[in-house]
Amino acid sequence: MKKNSNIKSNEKLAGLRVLIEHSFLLNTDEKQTLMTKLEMMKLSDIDALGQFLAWEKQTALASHKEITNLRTVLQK
Amino acid sequence: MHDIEKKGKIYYTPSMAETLPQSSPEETLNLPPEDLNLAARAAILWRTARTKDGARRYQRIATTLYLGAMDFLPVIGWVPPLLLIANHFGLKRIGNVDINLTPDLASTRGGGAARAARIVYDLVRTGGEIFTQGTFPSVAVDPGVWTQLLDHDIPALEKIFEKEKLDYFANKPELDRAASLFGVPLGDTGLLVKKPIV
Repeated sequence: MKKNSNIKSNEKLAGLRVLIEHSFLLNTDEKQTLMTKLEMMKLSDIDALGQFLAWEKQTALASHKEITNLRTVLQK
Repeated sequence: MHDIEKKGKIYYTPSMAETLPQSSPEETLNLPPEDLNLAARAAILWRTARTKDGARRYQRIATTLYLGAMDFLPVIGWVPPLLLIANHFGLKRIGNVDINLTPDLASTRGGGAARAARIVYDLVRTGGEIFTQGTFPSVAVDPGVWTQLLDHDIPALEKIFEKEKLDYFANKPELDRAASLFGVPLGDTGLLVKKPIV
């Protein structure tokens, strides 16, 4: 049971690294700071930060579509 | 309709300007072009996440981040979340900005928008970053700074989100998987191009 939980948290840690690396909200210094703190983070913090960055990505993709549509309307 | 005057690329209303502390409206709202992208980015984040549910999520995350990484200081939230964080930690300053815990700061109309504009400006000017969102739907109809930025800086926003979209498609499998681990489905954004059925 504990082994499964460790696998899950390792996966989340790896996922969080990917999201930090590709975040457009964070600058290079902030990314480096967070990367050095990852190993010490509680699972709840990993979850919170992972959700936040994943949600940022989702929002940005949806917003691109929205902004493009808005521009199209304005150009008509 | 409010009496809106044009100042460079930013618009402001005299009623908002009256509430600004320690500066003239010109100083506060004439953002240099390099600051506009950041402020516009803040605007879209606010605009797309202004539900109460979103606000609670942002408050929690902002607190978590603030506790977990002191060197990393995104001030996430509109004025009430900002107050919440400041109160929680007994802060009088966030970044280089004085937080004046006066009753009018809790207002989400006019004064709140103007004060938040001042905070954004001070932060971006001194190298800080701020990402804000509205807490209550009423802010959405307020002729606040964010709505105005959004109205007049569409090309900058397009450029920002275009880069983000390209990065997403270049790294789609790993980003989809990473986001799904946290319960966020990126593949359902409506941006995926499907092959036509022949």
